[in-house]
Amino acid sequence: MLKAREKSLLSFFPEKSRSHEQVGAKEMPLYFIVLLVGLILLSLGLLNLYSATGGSALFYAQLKHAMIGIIAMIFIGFFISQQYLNMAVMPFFVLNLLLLGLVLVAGDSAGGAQRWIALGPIRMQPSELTKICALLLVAKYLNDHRSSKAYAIGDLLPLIGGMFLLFSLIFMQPDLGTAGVMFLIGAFQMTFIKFDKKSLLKWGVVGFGFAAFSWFFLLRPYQKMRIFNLFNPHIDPSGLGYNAKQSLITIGSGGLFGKGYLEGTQTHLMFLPARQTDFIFSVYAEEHGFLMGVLLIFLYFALIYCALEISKKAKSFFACLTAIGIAGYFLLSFGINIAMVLGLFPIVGVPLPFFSHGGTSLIVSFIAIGLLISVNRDSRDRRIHSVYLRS
Amino acid sequence: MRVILPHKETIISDSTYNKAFILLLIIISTLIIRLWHVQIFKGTYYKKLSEINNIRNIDVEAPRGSIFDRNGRLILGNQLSYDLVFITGYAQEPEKSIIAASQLLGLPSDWFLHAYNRKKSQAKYLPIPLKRNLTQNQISLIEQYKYFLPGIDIQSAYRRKYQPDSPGHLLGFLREISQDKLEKIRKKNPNTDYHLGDLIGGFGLEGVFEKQLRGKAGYKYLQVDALGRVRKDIIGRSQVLAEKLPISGNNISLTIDLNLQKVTQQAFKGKNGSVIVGDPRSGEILSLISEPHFDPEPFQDGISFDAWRALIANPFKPLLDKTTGGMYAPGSLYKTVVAAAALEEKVIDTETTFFCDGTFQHGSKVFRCHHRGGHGLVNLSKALMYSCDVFFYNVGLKLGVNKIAEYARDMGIRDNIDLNLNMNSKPIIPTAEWKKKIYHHDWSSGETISVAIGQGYTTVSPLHLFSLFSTIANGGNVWQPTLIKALYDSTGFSQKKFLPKKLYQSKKVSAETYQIIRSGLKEVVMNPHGTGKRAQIPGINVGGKTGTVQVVSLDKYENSSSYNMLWYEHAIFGAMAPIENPEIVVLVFSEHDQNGGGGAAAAPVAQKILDYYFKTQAELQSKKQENKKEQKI
Repeated sequence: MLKAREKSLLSFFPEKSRSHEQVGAKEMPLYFIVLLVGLILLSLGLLNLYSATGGSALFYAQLKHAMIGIIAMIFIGFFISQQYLNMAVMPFFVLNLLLLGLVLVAGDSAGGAQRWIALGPIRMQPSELTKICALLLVAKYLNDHRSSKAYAIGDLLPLIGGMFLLFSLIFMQPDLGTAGVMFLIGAFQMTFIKFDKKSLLKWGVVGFGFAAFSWFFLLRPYQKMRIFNLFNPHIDPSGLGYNAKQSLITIGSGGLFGKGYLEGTQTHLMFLPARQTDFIFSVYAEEHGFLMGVLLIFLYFALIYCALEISKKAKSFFACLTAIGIAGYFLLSFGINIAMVLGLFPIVGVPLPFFSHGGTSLIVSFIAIGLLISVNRDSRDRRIHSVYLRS
Repeated sequence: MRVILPHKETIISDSTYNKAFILLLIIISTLIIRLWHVQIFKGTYYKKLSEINNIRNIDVEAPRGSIFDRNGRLILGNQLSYDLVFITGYAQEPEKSIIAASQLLGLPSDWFLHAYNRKKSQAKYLPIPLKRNLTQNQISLIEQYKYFLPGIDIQSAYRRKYQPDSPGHLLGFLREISQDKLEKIRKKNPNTDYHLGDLIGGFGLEGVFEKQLRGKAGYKYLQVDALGRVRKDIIGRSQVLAEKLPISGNNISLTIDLNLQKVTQQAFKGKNGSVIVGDPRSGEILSLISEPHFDPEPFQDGISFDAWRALIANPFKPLLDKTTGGMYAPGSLYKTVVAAAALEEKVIDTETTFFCDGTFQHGSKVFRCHHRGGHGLVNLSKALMYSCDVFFYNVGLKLGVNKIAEYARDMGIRDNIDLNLNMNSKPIIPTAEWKKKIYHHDWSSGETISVAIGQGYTTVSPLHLFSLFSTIANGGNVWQPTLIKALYDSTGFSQKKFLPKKLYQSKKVSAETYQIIRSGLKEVVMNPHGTGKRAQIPGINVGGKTGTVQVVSLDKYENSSSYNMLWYEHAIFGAMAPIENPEIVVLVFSEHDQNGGGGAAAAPVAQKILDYYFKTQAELQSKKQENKKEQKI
């Protein structure tokens, strides 16, 4: 017993919480923790955005979007069961394809990429929504094609085709960062199922060939430049490397306790570019220092950990994979963004959930939380052990 | 084959989750270690970097594109000005500094405080312009006491340099972008490079071509200290590490002839209304004025409340572009339409005569000719020459209002005739259906009588009349009036050429009819008894038509003891020359003219313009011939 516990890295978590049979009414439900962490992150993010934007209209827009996001979260979390969600995946996928197509045809461009679309009073970035759409698609496909055998890549071809469609529509905007994150979330979900090793190898070679092809024919020069900059940020002081370097100076100058709220010189003197979007963590780290930075990282850790726990307890395979996908969504968005501003990753334009300015991104983060709540509530509610779960 | 699908625990085992948790822990610890490395291990290094030696990205404003006339003469350019700015981030007590600066310059401190309060919520280190365009004296005063004025600074910026009497309606003005407008732009494009305090075109060409005229700001990487001040070397130069030069806006080349524009302004001085001079062969506008004009200069410094109120309160509406936005009855100029319609519909021929005894009885109502004594027996040519109303009453009644409307549209009074400058007014050309729709009454034939002499419901802008006269002048081609020749980028490469656009060919009116109308118009000016004889110029045959529009009915006018300025009649004159093959059309529209009707007040204006135009043409011709001779020798 003891040995088994030692082997498990999770030994410091009580045994009973991992077994859904023992879930009692007295125990604090996991979705409650998720909700709490999400709201703490939102508050920190809003305070930080206020500082980064100097209290401009961008901040108030974010506040408005947070309200919309919370309403969406409550709706999805407390009123939509997994059963309905499962049915909604395909329509959602089609809608998403339409929106992405519309962006390419009639989108607004900003900064050389066509990412936004205006539908009446609503202006949105459908590529953010695609992240959720893709993870639901993977969950639904694998739920519909369950098998205890190892999967060969060939079994997944329809799914890969759908993902590729989404990927290329975003890639054409062009938005390499979002397309990559979407792809990686899908890959993260797939790592949880067993694969046939031979088939994996075969398709790995094909994938490598495709990567080589895209490097030479598809990637725009600025995208290549960004990948190069990863290896040497000092290569180009006035170009993209400037951003990475200023980001490091901003974070580094924060020290242990930071410069104080609204006191960040790097931020307020406007050394730091893209303060309210990609480099928002630098603002936080400069003003609040290392300790608070670690706290923030732990908050994201708690969120992702809870998402994986929720997945473990989920009653259906679909719900389980959805929760894994959301864990992947937070892990990749947060991990890539922080790695990016810390100079561990190229600047690819991935927003930090709850922190970066951007209405669609914020609302999508809340939708993700809502999905987690929905999954967890379903698995706790003994009445909904409906037929579809095992059919 | 039916496969029994397994439960999820058999697909995803706990060990898979454990691997995921390990991955999560690795990622988290990598990030924390790296954060520690940057913030703690190398913290002092980066802190030093941020304090002593910093690179800062500063936007460099791009100069706006210039506007040139058809011969390459500068109409509107830029000049460097020095602005008093305030940077909130440097001042402990902002209001104290601002009040001190205002006292130093002897200007009311309310202005400065108002400018500051409007923008103090923006980023701390963005400069807030307090006063634009300082004089040399003011600059030296501020520089002298700068030490006592924390936060106050002087920055150079481009501003528009207007020539005296520059045509405000044509060029438009620049003004500071308003908060609402900025938010609208930001909503459309979050990455916009407009900032609060930037100037934006608000009217005329500046407004229409804002996108093209505004350049692309560049940037500079400068060394600054911990407070964001630019570090300077011993001789006061800032050290530029890297820079991207701003790209100045596109230059616009107009069809306007600057000299002719000035002559037009001179000739029309003291009158209100508009003058349009253009080439009937292409629709190109050579000169365009609307009076009273406004001075665009004060707008870019922030127009004062009093000056703005004066503009708004002026009964002659200086802010209205009367060339396209002023809507009036066309007066006797409309008789050309009626004449053409009558000839084409075979209602009359050139020899048909009517007797004018000064009155015209229709039903119970008596209509008068403008000449109380009557013109006697008149044919078409004489009717145009004397502008005999009775002749056109007769013809108009025979034609009916719908036919007149058809021909008016055919001859260039149309909805889509516009300059796309300030306003695109649509003409009102009444028909029986139109009245039914608007007033729910049937058309009465008495109203046709008013329409036939260009009064009544008919409402057009001076540009529509210009279009009508151009069509008559060129024998049936309706061109889109155009102002712009081309756009050039800052290096002189042509970006876009605006070629004259022919809208359509007049279908109802034949070239012969246009010829007859033109010879009638020639009589108006060249005959010693013609109403437009004051537009004669030596050596060239001019054609034209006078028009006088009553504003208040005659009876009221006679009985009233006090005259109101706005009761005077409008004086109109449309001219084309040389009448054999017109190359210039002049349309003068003088509102509420005290000097009399079209013949007395408007024709002399056209005369001056035509006189100048043909003199310079002759000079050009002789110069060309001299050049040819020289080449031959």
